[in-house]
Amino acid sequence: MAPVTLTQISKSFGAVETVHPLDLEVKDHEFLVLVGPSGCGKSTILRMIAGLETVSGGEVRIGDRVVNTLSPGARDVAMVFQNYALYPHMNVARNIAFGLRRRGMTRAQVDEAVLEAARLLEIEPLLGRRPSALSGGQRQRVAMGRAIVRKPKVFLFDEPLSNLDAKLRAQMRVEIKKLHQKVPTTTVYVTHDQVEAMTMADRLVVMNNGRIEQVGRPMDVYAHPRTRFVAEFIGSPAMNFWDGRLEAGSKGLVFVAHSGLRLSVPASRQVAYRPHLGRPMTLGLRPEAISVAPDHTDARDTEMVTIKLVEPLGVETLAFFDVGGVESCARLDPAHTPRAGDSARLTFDTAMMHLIAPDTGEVVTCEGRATGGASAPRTHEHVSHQRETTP
Amino acid sequence: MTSSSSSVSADAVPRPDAKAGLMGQAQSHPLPWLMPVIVVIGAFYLYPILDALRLAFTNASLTGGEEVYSLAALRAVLTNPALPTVLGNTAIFTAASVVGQMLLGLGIALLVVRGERNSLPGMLVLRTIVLAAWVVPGVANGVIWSMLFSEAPFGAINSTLGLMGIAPVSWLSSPQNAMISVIIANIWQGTAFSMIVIYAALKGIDETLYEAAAVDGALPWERFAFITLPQIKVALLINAILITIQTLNTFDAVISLTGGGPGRATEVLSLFTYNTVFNNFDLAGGSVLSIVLLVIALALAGLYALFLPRGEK
Repeated sequence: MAPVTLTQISKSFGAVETVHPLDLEVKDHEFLVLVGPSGCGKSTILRMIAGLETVSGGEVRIGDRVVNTLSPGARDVAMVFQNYALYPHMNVARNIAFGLRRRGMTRAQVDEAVLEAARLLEIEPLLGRRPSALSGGQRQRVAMGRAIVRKPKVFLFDEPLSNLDAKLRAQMRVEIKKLHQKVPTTTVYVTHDQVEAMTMADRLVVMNNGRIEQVGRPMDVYAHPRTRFVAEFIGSPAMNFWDGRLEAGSKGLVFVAHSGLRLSVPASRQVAYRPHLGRPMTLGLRPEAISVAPDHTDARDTEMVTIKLVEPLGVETLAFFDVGGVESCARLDPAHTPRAGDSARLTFDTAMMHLIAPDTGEVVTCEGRATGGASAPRTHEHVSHQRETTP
Repeated sequence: MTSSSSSVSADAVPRPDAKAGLMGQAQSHPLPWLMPVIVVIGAFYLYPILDALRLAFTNASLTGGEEVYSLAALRAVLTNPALPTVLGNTAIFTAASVVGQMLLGLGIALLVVRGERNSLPGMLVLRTIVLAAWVVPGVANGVIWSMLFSEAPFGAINSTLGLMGIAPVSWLSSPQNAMISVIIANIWQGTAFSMIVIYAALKGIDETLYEAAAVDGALPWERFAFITLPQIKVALLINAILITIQTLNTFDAVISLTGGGPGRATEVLSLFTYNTVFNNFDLAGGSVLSIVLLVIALALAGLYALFLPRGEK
């Protein structure tokens, strides 16, 4: 086990730079998730760590060793591929043993290690089968067995769950996490699924267009996205965004959306937001910050809307409505959900608001301030992670 | 089927759609669906084979005359002192050609796939050039190589060797060399087929298997031995069956290059059969030989097929 340090690494294919120079450190034993839309460069970074892709610039370090020129086999990493890449002509035991045999272990040592890995992953009864006789979930386990049996310094996962159905995916997510608790090997996990990223990561790295948008612990990134991209990408259903401007009201700043929706800026953010007074800004508010207002109130930060569609999910119900032509979503208590077509008065909890400068896409920070109920307290660690982020 | 039972089944089972109905009919009454194939195969493949089998037990001759059933032709062919030589030639020619074509085909296919993987230019040209040899007719192939191997002063290979100060080689006039020359000509022509079959098999291998093997620490030769070879095993075996039969049947290139000579040094079974029928007018003897050829081909194909994986993907 060892940390992985990427220093100014970049990757270009001809004139196209798919990964812009970036720094990233994966701490020893850490479970780091790279998340972003397809083509954002996350898989390329993983493959550069594995040695399957050459590095165009910068340095990859595993432990104390610079591994830029080492072959994948010499880097002591193990990788789980999206399609599992099990050797189809070998049975499960030989698949798991392949890497060990190549490293010159004796047959007895190999057998013991294979059995131990198979026990850990509960695939002992499958050892004699060929991959073609396994289900998707079983193949996934075998691929993981092949990785852990080598006791490598680093685990690399390249979208390992995307070929599984939703139920199995949720199950394997838990199992990978449990496995990491039992065998805390440094792990880099690539996914495009923000739910996987949120649930599995010790820290997550949100990427877009070959650049790091934000690095941080999942709840910190969720509560304090640094850019509109992160705000939109992390969280499902996505954050609502309304364009408008900041105006001065009788009780401080007010955000006035183009639709006429008026939302008061909480007292704690007045100072931080004041410099943006009068400028066109975007307000971001997560669906859970919107709720049904108590009957017949006409309080501040409420608005009458017509519910266009409801999606009951059991534990919660999503309600979709229009705010000035922008489709918006609220996450409501199923016991008090209006029906589609109903008019309803909704309350917008501005304590959870995010103010975004539309030109740069950056969220206006209000460092050191309490930012509402959903957020975890800001820690020193979080701030230091932000410094790691490439602008 | 009675009317009552049909009405019951129509009520009980939802009416199958047209496709399922056709499938059902094909399964319950397969013969009408197979007839066209049976007729074509029967008329153009089975009948000639059966007729050859019949002729083998006659005294039939190309010059005509009354056909009498006898075992004379069979006895004459099987006791012919030339037969062991011919069978020996055939074994050497076929074995060397098959091994040579497989190895060269594999080598070129690996080169082309590797070149394409690294987006090297000219791979399509290379593939096309190799294929060009394959589309040359066998007789033309023999003619081309007889010019190359010509022992006259203008012979392409010998004059090139001469430029390097190497004495002329008797490519076609020495019995041992003649066999080597025929094999070279046949390999040159047949390699393209193996190359294409193996190339297709190589292209079908999942690239990530190599990546997984690389991460597992497999060296290049280990990747070849443990990934590539097992993955193309079936293609190699099927290719072996096809080119073995192809080589056993080859006589056009041999006849135009050496005519089977010097002496009987390059006379292979198919050429011997041809000579028996069309030079000696011995239709019955030729039929016996063609049956022998068929049996050998079937036996070899069956042998290879033993190694094909069964009942698993």
